Amino acid sequence: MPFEPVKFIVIALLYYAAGMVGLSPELVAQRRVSADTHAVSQPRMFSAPSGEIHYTRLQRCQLEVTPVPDSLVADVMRRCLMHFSSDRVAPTDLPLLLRLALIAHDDSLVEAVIARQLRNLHTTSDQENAGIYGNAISAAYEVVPRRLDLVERYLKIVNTRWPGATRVRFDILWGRLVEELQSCTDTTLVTGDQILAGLQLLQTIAQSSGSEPSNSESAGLMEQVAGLKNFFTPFATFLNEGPEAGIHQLAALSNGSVVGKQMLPVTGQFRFASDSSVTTESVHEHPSLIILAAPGWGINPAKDGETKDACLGTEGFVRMLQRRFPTLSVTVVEPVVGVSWQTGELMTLQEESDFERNWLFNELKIRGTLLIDTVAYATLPGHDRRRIPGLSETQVRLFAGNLLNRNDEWAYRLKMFLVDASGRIVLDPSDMFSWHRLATSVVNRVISKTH
Amino acid sequence: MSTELRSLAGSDSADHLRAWFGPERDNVPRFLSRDDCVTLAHNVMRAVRGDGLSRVNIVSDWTGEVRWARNRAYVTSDRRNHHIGITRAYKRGITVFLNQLDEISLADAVRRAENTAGWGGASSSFFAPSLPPVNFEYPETHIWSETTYAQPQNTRGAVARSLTEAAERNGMLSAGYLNVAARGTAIVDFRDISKFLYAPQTLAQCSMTVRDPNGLGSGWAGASSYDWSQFSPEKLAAVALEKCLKSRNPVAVEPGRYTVILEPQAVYSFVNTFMSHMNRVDAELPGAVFWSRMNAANIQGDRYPVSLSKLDERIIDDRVTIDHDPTDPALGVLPFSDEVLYVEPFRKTTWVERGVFQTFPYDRKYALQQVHENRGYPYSGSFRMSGGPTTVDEMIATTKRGLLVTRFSEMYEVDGLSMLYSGLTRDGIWLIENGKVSKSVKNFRFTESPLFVLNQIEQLGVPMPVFSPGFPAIVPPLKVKDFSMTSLSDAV
Repeated sequence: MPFEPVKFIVIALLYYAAGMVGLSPELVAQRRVSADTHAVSQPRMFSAPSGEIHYTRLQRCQLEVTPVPDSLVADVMRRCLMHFSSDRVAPTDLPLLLRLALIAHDDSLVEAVIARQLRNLHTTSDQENAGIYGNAISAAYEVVPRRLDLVERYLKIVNTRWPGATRVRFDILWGRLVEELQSCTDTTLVTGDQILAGLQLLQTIAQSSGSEPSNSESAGLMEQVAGLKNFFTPFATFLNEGPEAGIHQLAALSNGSVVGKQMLPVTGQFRFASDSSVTTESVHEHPSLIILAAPGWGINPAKDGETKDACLGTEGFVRMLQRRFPTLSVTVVEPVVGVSWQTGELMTLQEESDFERNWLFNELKIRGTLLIDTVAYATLPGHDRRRIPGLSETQVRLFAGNLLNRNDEWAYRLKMFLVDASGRIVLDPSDMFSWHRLATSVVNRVISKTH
Repeated sequence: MSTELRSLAGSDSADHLRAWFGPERDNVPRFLSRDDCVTLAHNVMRAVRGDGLSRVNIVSDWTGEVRWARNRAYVTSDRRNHHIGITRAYKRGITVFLNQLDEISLADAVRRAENTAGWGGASSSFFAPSLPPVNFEYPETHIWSETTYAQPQNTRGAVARSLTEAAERNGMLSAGYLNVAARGTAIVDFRDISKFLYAPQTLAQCSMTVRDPNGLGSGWAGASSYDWSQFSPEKLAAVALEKCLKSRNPVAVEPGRYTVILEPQAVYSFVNTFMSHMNRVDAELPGAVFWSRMNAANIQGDRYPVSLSKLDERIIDDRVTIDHDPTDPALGVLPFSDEVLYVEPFRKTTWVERGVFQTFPYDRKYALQQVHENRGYPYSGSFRMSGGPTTVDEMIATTKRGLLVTRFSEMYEVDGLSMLYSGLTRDGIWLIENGKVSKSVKNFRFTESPLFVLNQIEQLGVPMPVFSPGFPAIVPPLKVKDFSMTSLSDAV
């Protein structure tokens, strides 16, 4: 059914004039821009076959706009919040109202909700009063974009008004440190000194003799700080002093860590390169990321800009790393299993290899080398008939070198190795990639060592 | 695509859909025809937007029933309903169910499904929630009977009346249920509308319990089929009445292990639980269920051990074969499994052959991932069990001391690993002494496993259909030794 812009705009204006959930000119403009630039499906007029009842419906509330601008979300939320008042909402709904007010960027409503929550407390306990601001800070981290200005403001209020609320202050500062290290939108690098400063602040809070918590709880906080220091200090050393100083400390973080070991060669029956500049030589002379991936690794790629890419799963983060560090080479090793994970069809080796190549390079838009790993299957006899995979050359090699867990199932769980130019494993980042900013800083330190 | 789907429908279908809500509804067919389902799917398709998978499952049914108790009918109804499941899958698969046919409701349901399917983060291990339709051959099954469909309401009433009169004449109380139904089942996957699946079917069932007004005895009989003419309600009533009269004034006998003669309905209870326990995924966990072996095996040398199951092992009596052929006129089922996600045709399957376990049921997804085939072995719930030449009278005549059991009830699982179940006998149990039925006895609680029962068979009878509405089954009577009756029950 062809799109009829005139009819659409007329009906839209009628609805707007009738005071229903309206269509602001801005919204229309955004929709048109989106339609033009991203080929979003157009709103359709429904019409029944001729001879039957003829009706049309607008779909403006459900229109796809990709991506959804934050301003649009805030605008819709503001209209919803017009129906609510911080004085009349049930007390149990106040935390939800606070979150909605943050989404709507309505700071006055946020303040009003917090004020009412404090009035409802009827207690002088530092902990409980400060906890109200603690919850507000958690909400400020979750809204997009994060309200770091509110975080700093509320932290000052808690420190000033309720200095005895040690536990809450500790949690707020720990949350801030986590946000800084996990942030996928903050593109600045974190330094070792920043990490150490954050840990020092936590230690100061834990040692302070506040009225709350008690001495025993203070001991618990100290223990918690000790654990955090054990984990983050090696990273801080790595960032401040370079891989040579920090790599042994990173290796000691966990038993059986592969950090510090020489990476072993990964091979495959087929090799694909995303473009002609990717050669086997380029893999060995630069820091590289070796990814052992399951078939169908990664989701649909992001359609928007660089800042959000890093937040979109591991493959988005890898894309961001490639843009930021062009000399970082990426090698992906994937097994083939004879079945398309996407369509459920049986595939030959060649078909599945080609499918994975297209998925990695053209859909996920990751640049680098793809190695297709193959094994021999044994078929169980009789009526069982299951196919049992053997080991590939890569797996045999990595098992023998204790770089891969023997209990890992076939069709690898996502496993990554960050390898420096000398072939030494610097980071086992499979779990670390949730700490986006920290991991990016580590990669930068590895690359800057050689350049 | 919308035009192609529309072309599959007839010109009257849209009128039918509107007429469901109007004063003319008595004149329209009692369930949605193929053309109606095509039009409905067309309306859904028009509402679909954006990427992702789309599927519609439609079950439209009509039921005409009579329910009576204490010799009086208390429910007679003519019910019609539609169960429409709209599945949309984008980041995840969501199905919305509704029973409305109008376009606005359908569009609203599509919208709800799409909004929900788009929420939340996508999973990087996303496996298509619905495998694409392929060119399967669908078997021709016997599930439609004009006799059943055309049976008028006053006939059902007259039959029910005649059944209650027989009990009343003998001073007994009867309760029962009589039902005829018809339904149309359709599945359409919008990725390939040429594979539009539709199957009409009819169902008929009649079951009746006759009880002594003083609570001294009870008898039951029941039958089900797609074809009303394949069983006789009058004969059922006669059987139930006879059992009731013969089961009055039961005496208590010691619990213990008995040789029992199980009528087919009782056998069905055990074999059905045996079949329902078959699960391939659980069987591949060492020692998890009966079907799994206790230890894993190293198949590929250096790989992690592979768990094996009891496939190709003899697990029950070697006179027993359990299989299902969907084209069997006596075992008619829908030609396709109507699962939302993995639709595929049923096929001729032998689950157990001469006591040797042949195959588990599994779906297409498992078949693709594990066996590297694009087709599984779905379980229809229907089966045929092999038997022997011995009649029940012959079994009685060759029993020195034993029990004759009509059926079981209230069965529940005691231990999954051994499939141990406990339950009660019901509606007639008699003591056999020296080759004759001597007296009625009180009901027992039993504790037994289908594995034990099917390994302790002395004699098998001629297989016959049992009461299992919607999932026809044919099982023989069995004479089984050492059946454990653990305690007496006061239940009638």
